[in-house]
Amino acid sequence: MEDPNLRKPGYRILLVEDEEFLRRIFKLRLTAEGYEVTDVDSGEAAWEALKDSVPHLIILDLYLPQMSGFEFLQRLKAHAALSQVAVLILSGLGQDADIRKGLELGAKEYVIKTKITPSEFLEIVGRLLKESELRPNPLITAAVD
Amino acid sequence: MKDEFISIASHQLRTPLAGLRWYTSTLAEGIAGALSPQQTELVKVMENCVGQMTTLVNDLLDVARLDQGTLTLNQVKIQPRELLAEVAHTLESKARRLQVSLLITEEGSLCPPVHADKALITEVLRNLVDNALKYTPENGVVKLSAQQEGQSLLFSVSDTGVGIPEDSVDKLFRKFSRVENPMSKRERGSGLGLYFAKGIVEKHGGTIWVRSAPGQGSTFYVKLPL
Repeated sequence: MEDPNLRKPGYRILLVEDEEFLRRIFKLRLTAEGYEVTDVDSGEAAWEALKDSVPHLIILDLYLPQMSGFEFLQRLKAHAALSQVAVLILSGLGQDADIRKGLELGAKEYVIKTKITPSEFLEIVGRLLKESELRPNPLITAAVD
Repeated sequence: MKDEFISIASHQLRTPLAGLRWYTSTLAEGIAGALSPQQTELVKVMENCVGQMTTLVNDLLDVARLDQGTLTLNQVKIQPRELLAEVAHTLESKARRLQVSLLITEEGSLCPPVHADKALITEVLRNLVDNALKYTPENGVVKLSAQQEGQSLLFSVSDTGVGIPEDSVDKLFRKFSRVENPMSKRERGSGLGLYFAKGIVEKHGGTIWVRSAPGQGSTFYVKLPL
């Protein structure tokens, strides 16, 4: 297999998913693509992780304990230093109202977990990273309250 | 209440199913290590079963959305050509795997934009293309096109597949209607995709129909008002 680290250097992804078995496989596949992945199981932990490093992309589940994915997204988009970070919602929720709300709150894309294959999902991730306004670079940090 | 039930059911069904799909695909692609030929064969069967279960769950949830009557359209301006490219893009790898050519004919580039719910119409077209791939043998062709017809936009998805028997055409858009696929190794549909497609197209004020003959392929048409 081609060395993935030679293909996609420097892209950081923050993965927010509360189901451990899903987080594990998503991280495995994203890491195999050559991305640097930080994984957390809640919106609160995601907010903490943003204090250490600003990712190029946040992959966000919605159905999370305590702070929901929607609340996290709202908070992110209201934050001056973080509002430009691309967010890709990956959720089991597929109601039209959920999709509309996710996109209105500023997510770049809304993907329903079972609607596309893993390789299709990885293609979307690759595209969003290419479009990302933050270029691959050394550690960026932002003042996160 | 019904909304909330569907929403929770959707999440609870999709979570383990997504796990199955991702783990199976990771095994099948050799990302967790190379498989023996026999293991590869077994994992392929698993992938097929997971694919069928996924289609069924997705379609059941879509139909629940449609039948509960609360589905509202979020209509935006869509460039037909871009829409077709997006649909083709998501099914490219499947077409390659089945050795079927997936083509977009050029008329689409001349079409005016159409006002439609992008997510739902994408799903309708994706459904039609996915069906066409399922029923088209190796070395066959599936073509997507869009063209203006007076005050309407006409999308079409044609294939060189096995075609549909005359007595099945009428019931094709009913719930749980399914045409037997002579290519038994291909995944089976849920029998709900075309029912959903019809409901969505009609909600847009459009129409959907098919022209087909056994052995001569099928063409599905979706006409939307401009």
